[in-house]
Amino acid sequence: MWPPLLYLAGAGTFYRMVARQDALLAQMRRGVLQYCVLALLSEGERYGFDLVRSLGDVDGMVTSEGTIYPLLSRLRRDGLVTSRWLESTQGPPRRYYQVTDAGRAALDSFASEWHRFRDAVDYFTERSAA
Amino acid sequence: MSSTDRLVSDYLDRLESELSGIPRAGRREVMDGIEAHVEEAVAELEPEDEAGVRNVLDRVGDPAEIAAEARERFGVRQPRTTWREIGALILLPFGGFLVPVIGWFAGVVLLWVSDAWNTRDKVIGTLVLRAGLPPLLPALIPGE
Repeated sequence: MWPPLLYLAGAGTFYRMVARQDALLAQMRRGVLQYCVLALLSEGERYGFDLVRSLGDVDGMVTSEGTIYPLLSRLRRDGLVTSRWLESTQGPPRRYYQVTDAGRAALDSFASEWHRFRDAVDYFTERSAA
Repeated sequence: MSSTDRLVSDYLDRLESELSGIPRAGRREVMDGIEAHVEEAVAELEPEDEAGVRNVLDRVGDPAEIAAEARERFGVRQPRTTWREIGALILLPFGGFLVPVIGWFAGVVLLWVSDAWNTRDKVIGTLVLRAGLPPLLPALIPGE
């Protein structure tokens, strides 16, 4: 094949791979986000804005802040968190979210699986890097 | 309304219409949460200018993206037309001619149980699409 064309074909494959990897990482982040929310809430109740800011403080966890709200609503519907309205010193009342016993149980079982999984991935990826 | 208020209210309107396929309780919770979030983030701005507000809204994210996330979290398919929507669209204007009043009323019921429209659209649909109703009203008046 004509070299520039070969180069373009190679670049195309590379960009497709990067795009696939981005999609995979986005899916993984989405999947674990709920456990990060449960973990934060197990330290104490928080309202939406506060929770979103705490998640956003850690790099790589949240891409757009608004997407946390559908998640909170879903977790509440599934009984993993509950909420209550509390008066605020500035502005209107705020909806505070707390983790439930079911939420704590879900978090615990996820956390132990996650550590196993993380160690396994580390084992293989670090071995190849060494 | 100031230009920054306008930016926020346009954003929230766009979000509300993007969320129209989400079950009502969830939609309310998401809207309330994001509205309060934006309010608080804007209140923190120093100074509260247009660039700052745009920045806040960018961080909150594209309404379409938030709605896509909400659809996934709630297991809702991309809003699509089903028998409810088709039924509502046929019965609202013509139902009254098929079965007086009841046909139109069935259209109203279908309109309100559908997730494809938001409340404002439903009110408009109920009030405006009564084409089949007025001509039949005289028939209901006793003694005619």
